[in-house]
Amino acid sequence: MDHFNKTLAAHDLQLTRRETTTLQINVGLLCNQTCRHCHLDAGPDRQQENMNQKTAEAVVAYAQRSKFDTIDITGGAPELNPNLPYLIESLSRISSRIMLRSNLSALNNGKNARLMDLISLHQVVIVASFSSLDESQANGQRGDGVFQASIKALQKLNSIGYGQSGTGLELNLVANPTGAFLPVPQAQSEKRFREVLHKKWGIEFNHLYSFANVPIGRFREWLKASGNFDAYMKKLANAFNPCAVDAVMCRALVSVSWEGYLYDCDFNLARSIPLGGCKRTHILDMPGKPQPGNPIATSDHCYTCTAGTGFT
Amino acid sequence: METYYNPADLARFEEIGKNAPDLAKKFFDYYAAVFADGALTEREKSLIALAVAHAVQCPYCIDAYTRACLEKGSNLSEMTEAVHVANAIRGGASLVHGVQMRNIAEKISF
Repeated sequence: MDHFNKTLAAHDLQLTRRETTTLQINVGLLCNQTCRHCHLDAGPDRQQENMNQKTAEAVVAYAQRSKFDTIDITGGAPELNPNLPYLIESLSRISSRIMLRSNLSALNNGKNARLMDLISLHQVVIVASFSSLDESQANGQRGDGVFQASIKALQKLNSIGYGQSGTGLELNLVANPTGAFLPVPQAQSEKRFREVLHKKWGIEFNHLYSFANVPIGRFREWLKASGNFDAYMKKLANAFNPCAVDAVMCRALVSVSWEGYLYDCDFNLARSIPLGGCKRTHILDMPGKPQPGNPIATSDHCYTCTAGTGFT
Repeated sequence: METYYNPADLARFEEIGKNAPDLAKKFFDYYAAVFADGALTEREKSLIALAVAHAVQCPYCIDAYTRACLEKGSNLSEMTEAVHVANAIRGGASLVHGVQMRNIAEKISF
């Protein structure tokens, strides 16, 4: 398999930044689940790798001086970080669109009533992991009981207005394949999920995104242990779509880790490949957004975002 | 150990066009059109293909359509039921010929 940059060059393409409009904040690796496809190896044992108040304040200050259109909060399970309410309240005064990536089970665990009020008050967009309509597939990927917990959480979100027309409360789903294969085309998947979730559980949502699993972290370990790694990488590389390069998310996003360091995306963050492939930069030393035209650091996992219709 | 079936040969399917490119093109164009979304979805067509693959016992097709079914969003319960459909038709096809057996036996028996 060719290096990603060689494939780009073969198509006369370069991967550089355009205007950076989104700040993705990874608040830490602590999670209540240990999903088999996790690119970060997040889990309940990652107690120490969680953003503290000082770094959260530095992130807010960086967002303030950089004026991002969108803030994308992820983890781990961001709900487990005690600074999440502070981040939502502070950042919603700065950016018009706040997104919270949720595994659903951490959001609706019976202890987060205040957080539920907070997200709806600030019209935080929920981007919820929901891998499969099949309980055994979903639990096989995400852990026993997660499917039913996810259904209950989606019903709860619907009950407070999420995914319902006219409320302004946006609920989007993310479906990852439950193994070493490519995702269902997004439009087909969205149509089927909408029909089945409504019919079986009365659940409504706004949009569904299909993302391929990224061959790093725990998923990479599983690919290697199960003998699927080479075939999966070949599958991703063979599905390279030059048209997808223009819209990959790293062109308009910068990611900050729980420690406050900057990366081109959450996948480079997981592999400790610094912003632009240069020396590690902390937000305290970053005057503003990365400049348009700056190079983006790449590796073999980049084939994930250019497979098929791409990962935007 | 050498075998007649090599999994790597599946990816070489298009080589069948080397000595008959026009026929191969017609076949592959038709094949792509058959599996495109239509009155049946791509997902439904992949499940049918999986069942047929088992009926004709083609290892290449079983490999390809197991993967295709998963990539189209089917699950193992649905795929297993599809194989049972193939099995029911195959089994039923044998069993229904038992009527022919009975007809002949009755004709030549007291």
